[in-house]
Amino acid sequence: MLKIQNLTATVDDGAKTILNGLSLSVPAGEVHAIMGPNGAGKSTLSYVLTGRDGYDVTDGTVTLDGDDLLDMEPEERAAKGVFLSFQYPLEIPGVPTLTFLRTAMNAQRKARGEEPISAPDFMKRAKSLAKDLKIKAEMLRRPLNVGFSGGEKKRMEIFQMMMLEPRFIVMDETDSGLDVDALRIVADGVNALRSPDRGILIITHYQRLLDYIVPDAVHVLSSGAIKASGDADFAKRLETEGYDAYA
Amino acid sequence: MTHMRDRLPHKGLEAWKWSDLRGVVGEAPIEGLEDRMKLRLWNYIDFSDGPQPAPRDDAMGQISSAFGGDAISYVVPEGAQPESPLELSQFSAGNVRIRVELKAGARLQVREGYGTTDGGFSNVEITYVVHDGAELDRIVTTAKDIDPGVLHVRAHVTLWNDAKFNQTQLTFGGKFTRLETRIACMGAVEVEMSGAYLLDGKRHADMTNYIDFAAPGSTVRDAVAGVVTDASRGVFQGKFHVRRPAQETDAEMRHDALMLSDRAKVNAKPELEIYADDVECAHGNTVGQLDESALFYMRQRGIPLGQARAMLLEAFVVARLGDDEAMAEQVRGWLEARA
Repeated sequence: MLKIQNLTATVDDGAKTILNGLSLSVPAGEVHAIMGPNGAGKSTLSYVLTGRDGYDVTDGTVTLDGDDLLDMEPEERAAKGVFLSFQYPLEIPGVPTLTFLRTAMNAQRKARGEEPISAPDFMKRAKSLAKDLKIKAEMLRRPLNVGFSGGEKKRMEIFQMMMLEPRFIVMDETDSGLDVDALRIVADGVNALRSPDRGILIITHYQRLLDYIVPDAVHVLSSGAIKASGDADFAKRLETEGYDAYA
Repeated sequence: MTHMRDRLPHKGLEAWKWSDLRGVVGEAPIEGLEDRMKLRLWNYIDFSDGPQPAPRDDAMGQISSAFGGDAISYVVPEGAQPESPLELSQFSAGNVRIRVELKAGARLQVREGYGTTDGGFSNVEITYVVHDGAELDRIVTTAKDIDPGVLHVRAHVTLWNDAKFNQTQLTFGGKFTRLETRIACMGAVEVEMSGAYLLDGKRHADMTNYIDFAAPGSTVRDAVAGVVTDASRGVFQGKFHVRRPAQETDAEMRHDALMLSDRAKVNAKPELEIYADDVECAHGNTVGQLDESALFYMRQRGIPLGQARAMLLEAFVVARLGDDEAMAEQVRGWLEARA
């Protein structure tokens, strides 16, 4: 599904290389985790995959089902089904959460040549999912993320993710800012999205989230490249042993 | 005519330093100045004729008296609350003086719509006197698609005890546009002012608000938002002048502008001059660009760049214009064509 080959990316107009020949493959139906020390390039990877300005890809390829992602604008990648759950979700003043989400959903549908979702269908789905995630209806009417707590913002990311039903999900430090109860709600949401035709990449500093979302594979990212890979138990070893061996 | 032009305010004057009226009129013929304007009241309301406004001794006041002749003057009787607004529209060149007086307890909405003709010079001097307990809603818009002329609108608003004044202004600028509001708070009054300017090309718009607090206990909120692109220029000047008797004044002023082009300019001057000691006065001013991180976030969710920009800009402007749907629609149309 997602294939990253020899990906090399720089910032500051080439002055600094952050990703350095990274290769990784996430097949459909699997959940992979990327762990690594601060500064390893974890967030950079999430931004390069989604097309944020300020990162120059100098070598390598990224494809989703064979399509070249690097050639697409961020909104085209989103329409293709790439979703990033942000480490720090942005506040969008003046735009109510549901308005934002419906605009996003219909923009994606339009890009794919599909009909827009009807207002009643949209509301029905939003209400039902909000209930599952313990998000109050009142929050959905407020401008997106404005004045929300860190945990509320993360839950809102999961809500958006479940509404948009992306084909490939990147989760950047989703567990930060969540207490145990919220973590469980979020994990339930993500687990519900696991399916044979969807891939998920979890980027995390801590192993904690992986107790709730058990990955099919765990990779160590250090100095901009994958240094080691293993199964779910590997994450637990990393937590106790640290990343020094992979520097 | 040269004689008249020399009397126009110019950039050497502090209050006009970013809006050089003499300079801009100098480029245009001002022969049209003597044409009397037609003022049309769409909804005829049977007000009695009122007195003439006091003469103004500054240049713009003198010009409007000299060329505008007698003022059109109305009085809204005590307690009268007409349901339909008073509309001043289709005004696009020349000089005019207007005076509207609201007697105690009266309530009126006034909608002022202005335009300019090619090379034209429009100068409007409008006086509002709002007596005890009366309430005035003033909505000012300037034409969106006409930019060749010069437009100067100055309102003098006198508010007596317990009066309320709500003002909403929306302009898309012109060759030269200045909307100036001068308010005298003569009792404990409530004032809500909001405004927005949206400028492209080489358009110019100036919103200048001066509020004079002469009595205790007034509350004023003044918020202006601007969006400038291309080589346009937006000007905001705001001043609270709190005199010694005006204790317990509660006043806030905000101006926020977004620049969508490197060539656009915004000049802002918020000022406080306070002589009373028990007051709460605040002012805030920001000039910036659209938040790149927010734009990326929206695009990551699938919203194309142009639409994302338009959504952020609309939220920025409309939040300050209140719930006037007609204005919001104009703002949306402008943004969709340019974002």
